[in-house]
Parts: sequence; structure tokens; C-alpha cells
Amino acid sequence: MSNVLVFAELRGAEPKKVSFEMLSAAKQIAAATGGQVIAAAIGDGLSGLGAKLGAYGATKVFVANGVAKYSTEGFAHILAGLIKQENPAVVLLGATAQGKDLAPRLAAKLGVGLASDIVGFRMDGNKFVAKRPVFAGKAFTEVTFLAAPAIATVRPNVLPIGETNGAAAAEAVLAADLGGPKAQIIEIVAGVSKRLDLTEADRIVSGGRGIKDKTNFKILEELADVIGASVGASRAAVDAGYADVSMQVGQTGKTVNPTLYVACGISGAIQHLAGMRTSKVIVAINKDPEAPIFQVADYGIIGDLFEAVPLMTAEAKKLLA
Amino acid sequence: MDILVCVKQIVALETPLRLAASGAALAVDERTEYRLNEFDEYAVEAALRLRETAGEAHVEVVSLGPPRVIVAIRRALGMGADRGIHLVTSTADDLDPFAVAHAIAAYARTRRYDLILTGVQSEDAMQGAVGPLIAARLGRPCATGVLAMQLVGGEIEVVRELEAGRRERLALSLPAVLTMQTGPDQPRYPSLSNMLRANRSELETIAIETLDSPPARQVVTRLTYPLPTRECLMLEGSAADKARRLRRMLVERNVW
Repeated sequence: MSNVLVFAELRGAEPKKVSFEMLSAAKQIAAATGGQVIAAAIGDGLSGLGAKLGAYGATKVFVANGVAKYSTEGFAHILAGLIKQENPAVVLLGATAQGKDLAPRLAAKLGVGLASDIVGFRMDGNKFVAKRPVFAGKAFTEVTFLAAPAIATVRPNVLPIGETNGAAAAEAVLAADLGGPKAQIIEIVAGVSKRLDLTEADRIVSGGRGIKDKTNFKILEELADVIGASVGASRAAVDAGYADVSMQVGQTGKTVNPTLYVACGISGAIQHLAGMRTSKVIVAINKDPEAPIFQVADYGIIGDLFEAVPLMTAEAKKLLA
Repeated sequence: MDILVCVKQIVALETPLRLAASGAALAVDERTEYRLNEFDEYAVEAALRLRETAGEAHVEVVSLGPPRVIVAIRRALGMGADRGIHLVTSTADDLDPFAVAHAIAAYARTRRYDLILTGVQSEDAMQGAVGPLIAARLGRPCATGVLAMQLVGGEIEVVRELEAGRRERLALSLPAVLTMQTGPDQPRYPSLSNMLRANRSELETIAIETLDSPPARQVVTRLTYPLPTRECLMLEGSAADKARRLRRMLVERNVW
């Protein structure tokens, strides 16, 4: 078979944006392999996924209902069973906390290759070739698969969403058989932030060591509120105790890919650049004209962030007025 | 309590890199600088801290690669690990994650480790695959991206980060495999006397041909380096002018 399987990751009972991005990519892949786009979802209280995922190109959706909690082994067990049954050529998962945890386990169960965190792909005839960052984001590689199916996790916010007017997909029941999960979730602790996760954010305002104090993040928050952004931080800011680790952008924390990234008082250590250099438009504000952040920025302001950021907030407010 | 930490030696990514003639790898020569993968330093640190709290733990470090990776093993020994194991490859090229995981799992099977730690990913390949692949190979539970861990009874409790600052607390039965995120515990710097001792210590050396070496599942066919750098437009004028110009440009590019 030459179908393409998308594991539609959900937030609650709704597909995440990356699921739609993967379906759009899957349509292009399936066009080259001569197959169909099929999708799988695992969760609890799920309904209407045939229509929701069909709109983006899925022709069949396999739904495992009644699974309230994620477990690596359980989800891998369900998906591996489906893959053995459907025999797709390519399997896509989100490069999210869940997808990154699940994909290697799935690849191991199937004994096939895996490309993590892909930012693009091309078709070499009917062969899927994945493009992914390496060397702390300083280079890209192309990965060719020697075993089927090819499994890839797809970086959120990178691949474009195509047509959204597809017909509702047929739904099929997927047995919620978890096998024997060995790790037990004790609890999930809610985050402190009400904002969208950085990996999904369309705009990010980020602060570095130059922010000098925890309370000064307030001026970044003000800009973020006006332009609808999430707030991030560099590792230096996290290490200095100015920001929570969940806000950290960079290889060690998060890889982000927003439309707009505003780096305030961030010099641009290699790990930070690895985490944000694929952002579509990058603005850097730094006192030091030699700061490496300017090498990856589109627009630079050499100056004091405490002066520049409030002025940007004021400019942004004018647009709202 | 026996702990195995899997570490990788990587090219020092801060140094200038060059593309090899093959177009699919980095060029290396005798001047190429290497160092321990930073995430693995955090895994070593986590193991050492667990030893400090658990009392009787024994921390071993394994690395797979050509003879140069001995330096990375010794670095971990210098941090305080008890013993080093070198799985020697006959090629200087990186193996695919499956081959690495199969070899480490085959080695680990000959011992009785209660806990196997790796960094969450290597800074060079950035796949995050080897840890979970080892776990799958050994049929053990695994948690990725672990921020903190503690022994509770016969289990290990871990905290891993999900999205938007949400965290998950998990209990895993031992033996288990954990891949470690960089947390608040900074990796210790080896003292000179510890490094001297580490440099004298005897490593166990095993040729990977004597272990499990499966065929590759994937191959890197092209490497693009360096990436095109962006043309940074430095905004001029007073602070207010700069903010105004920036706004105009961002509106023009439809991102504001």
C-alpha cells in the first residue's frame, strides 16, 4: 500500500493545528505515492473527527475512544497494530512533547527508521525524503529511509495548511487496547501561563540576560498582549532566575517557529539560535552591535530594550486604534 | 542500584564547521574539536546526584564510537562516574540511531542496570531516538525529556515537561530508561585531581561487531551547510524613529 498515515494529536477532543499541517503535507505525499491520506486519533469523548480531519484531506479516520491518559507504550501499541493492518508508506506524527516521546517507541516496535522534527520534505519519485535540522540548527540534512514505513515527526508551525474543504472522512473504530503500559501517570500539573505554548505560537516576544530582573518581563508582557504573542526567554534568562524554564527557547528547551520572533536583550548563544532561527521574521534588540543574534535577524535595533520595547508597544497600539 | 549513563562525543558546534566532499557529512581532520554532548552532561549529573541520595549506587558510563570518544568517557569519569565502557566502532562515521541503540542494549543486557540514562538528544544529530530505542529493545519503560527524578520505594518517579508549562509526574517500575532534559542542576566541573584519576582509570573496551549490529534503517543523503544567513537591516535614527520604522516594515511584511 502507498497510503500516508497521520497521527492526529489532540488537545482535549480537538485536533491540534499541527495535525492539520500534517494532513496537508500527507496530501502532497499521497499524490506522489498514489495512495490516500488516512488518520488515527486516540482520546476520550471523541466525536466528529471524520469531518474535522476530512476537511484537511483525510479519507478515513481510525478513532480509539475511551483512552483518557497518554502512555507511550499504550499509544505505541495501538498505532503499531494499525500500521501493521494498514501498511502505510509514510507515518507522520507531531514533533510535540507527545509525538517526540511516542515516535521512537513506535519506530522500535516496527523496526523501521525515524526522522525527528522535520521541517520539510521532498518526493524522489514515490520515495519520501525528509529534511531536518542538525548541528544545533546550523545545518539541514536530508534523510532517506531504507525500511517501510518511513516515520517522521513534523515540527509544528512550519508546513503550510492547504485546502480545508475536503469531504468528511469515513470513521472506523480502533480498539483501545493499550497492551501493558509500564509507566503510570500520577498527575498532570497545570502550567502557570495562560498563553499558547511557544511551539505553537504565531508570535513570540522573548527576553534574555539583558532583561536584568524577573519583574522587567512585564514590559515584554505588555508588548506581547498588544500583538497577541507568547512570551519566551533565553537560557541565560532562565538560569539567572528571571524566567521559568517552561518559557525557555532553545535547543534545550523548545524549538519555535513563529511568524514573528522579537528577541530582546538576547545575545544569541548557539542553543538559542538553534531554537528560533527558522522563525519567519526575526527582530533583534540589543545594545551590542556584535551580538550573534543580529546574524540571524531580519531587522536590528541597536539600543536599550527598556527604551525600545515600550516604544514598539506604543506603535503597536496605534495600529489597534 | 546500578546506573548506566549513555554519553556521546560530538563535534564542538561552536567551532567553524566544514562540509565533507561527500556532501552528506562534516569534514573532520586532526584539528577538529570534540566535546561531550551537553544533554549527556546533565544525565551524568543526574546520575551522580541520585547516587548521593541513594547511597549505594554505582554509576557507569558508556559511549559508542571510534577511539576519540574515550575523551568523553573520561570527562564523565572526571565528573565522578565509577567506571567507563567503550563500545568501539571501526568507522569514524556516525551510525544510525538503531545501530547505536541495538549495540548499547546488547551490552546492557549482559549487566543488570536498574536505571539507564541518556541526554534528551544529541546536539549534533538532534534525533532524541537512542534512549527510547534502547528501552524498546530491552522491553523497559521509558520517559523522555525528564526534568527531575527521585526513587520512591522500588519505583522511580519522574517529572517531564509537556506543553505550555504543563508537567507530568510519572512512576516507572525499575529497570527503566530515562532521557534527561537540562534542568536546574548544572553539571559539575571535573576537578583536576578527578581528571587525573579518570585519565588513569582502565576502561572496558568492546568491539561492536561482537554485539548486535543490525542493518541501517535510514541514511543521511545530503547535508546543507552553512545555511544562508539573513541580511539584517539595522534601523537608524532616534529610538522613536526606529520603533516607527520597524512597525512600518513589519506591517509591510504582514507579520504585525
